[in-house]
Amino acid sequence: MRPIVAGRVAQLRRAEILECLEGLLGASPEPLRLIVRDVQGLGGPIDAVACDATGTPVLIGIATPDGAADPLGSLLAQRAWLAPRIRDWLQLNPQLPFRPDVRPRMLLLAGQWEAATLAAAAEIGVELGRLRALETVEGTVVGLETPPERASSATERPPLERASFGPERTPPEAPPPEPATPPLARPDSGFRTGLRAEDLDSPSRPRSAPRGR
Amino acid sequence: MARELSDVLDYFLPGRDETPAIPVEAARAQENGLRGLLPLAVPVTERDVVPVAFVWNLAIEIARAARHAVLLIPDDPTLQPLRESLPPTTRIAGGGGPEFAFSGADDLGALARDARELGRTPHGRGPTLAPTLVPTRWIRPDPDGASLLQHPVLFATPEASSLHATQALLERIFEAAPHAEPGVTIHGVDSIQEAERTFDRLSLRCETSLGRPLRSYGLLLDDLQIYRAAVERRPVTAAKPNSLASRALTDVARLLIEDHTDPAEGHPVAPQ
Repeated sequence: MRPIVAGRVAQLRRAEILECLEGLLGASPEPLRLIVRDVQGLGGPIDAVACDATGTPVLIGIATPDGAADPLGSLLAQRAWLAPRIRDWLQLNPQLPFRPDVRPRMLLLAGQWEAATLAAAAEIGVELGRLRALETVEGTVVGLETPPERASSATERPPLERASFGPERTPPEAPPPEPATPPLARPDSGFRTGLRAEDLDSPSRPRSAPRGR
Repeated sequence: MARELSDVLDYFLPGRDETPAIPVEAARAQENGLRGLLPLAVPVTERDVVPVAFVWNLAIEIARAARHAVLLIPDDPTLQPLRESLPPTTRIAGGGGPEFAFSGADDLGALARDARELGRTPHGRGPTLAPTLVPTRWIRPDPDGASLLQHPVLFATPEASSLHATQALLERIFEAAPHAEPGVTIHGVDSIQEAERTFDRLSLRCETSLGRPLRSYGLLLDDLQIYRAAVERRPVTAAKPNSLASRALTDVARLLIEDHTDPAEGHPVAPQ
């Protein structure tokens, strides 16, 4: 364990948080898989979109001094924009882990919260995560905590959210069973392409969509 | 609320404020003879956002390859916003763009008649390939519409659901146009081998179940890049000219052009 010599809430900038967001989400009590960050949304960037263990999209907002003036309102607006586009994303990349027809969760990350923010977040079903920045001899370490108010129910969804937004979660439709298939490869394949296999093997090639982040 | 194709189609096409680089009438004024038009029918449903992004980019690639291209869009309710908002041409770097032709057809036969009429309108910029959006529910036996389905282009992924849907679509196409020569472009793959396996599955099913060959129109890569480029109203070959997505798109356009034009004449191969 690295020796922590001092601890304080640092004034982290949005870019710094985005940089380490994947690790933060993966190590949280309810691990989330980061799918994409800093993507264009409704009238501005969405900080990040992740996926939870059930396949539910999680829209993530980061409240920082250099971020949105009204992070809760912005998060609501971005979810309204994002929710109907999840199916589009799945069409673009069927391997994304999202389940269709599931309303995205909302998670707002910040260094500290005012009582009014806590109350408003609970009222509209926004989950909160507290960012902690600790000074160590090796540099600044950023951690993500569940606020004490929600520590005992980190995996529960606020009842209001279920009542207010979208349908109940339902299992995704299973794809129809594939009929008996011919052999996978044919010596006389008519497949054509001018691309070379090594082109696609390049480690610098972007995937169809961010995966495994 | 269900997401409809009409909600996003306008992302794929240039806005009203863009200046047409080659006005339709100006291009037609350069006519030097009847060139003909070859429809490449692309069956779409209201949810086929990705194939529409592909088609738009491919039409531009065909135009960039110095071929005249028309993107033919029928008067289907799901496509209505497109009809109302688009200028007739789009601008691309280094040359003209494809034209957009809006048909008032409300079924396959009427759309085919409009395509034939469009083909009688001469253009001076070479042969015309016409990617044509065809609502899948229009695909049914119709003597007037069979010619439109002579060279359909389908998009498929390795997903079982996509293979099933493509197979079902091929069956409907052959019912409507028994002599059709369909082709498939594979997407949503991570390797050429995966694309080849996917195509081979479809091809063998087509041959064994329907008794007809299936043509390969290559593969497209990095769907998200193509989609993002379309949303930004820039073809991926302009937004990401050195990307694999661009190279793959150019390759598919090349296959379409080579298969459907007479290299000696430079004219489209007439539908059989």
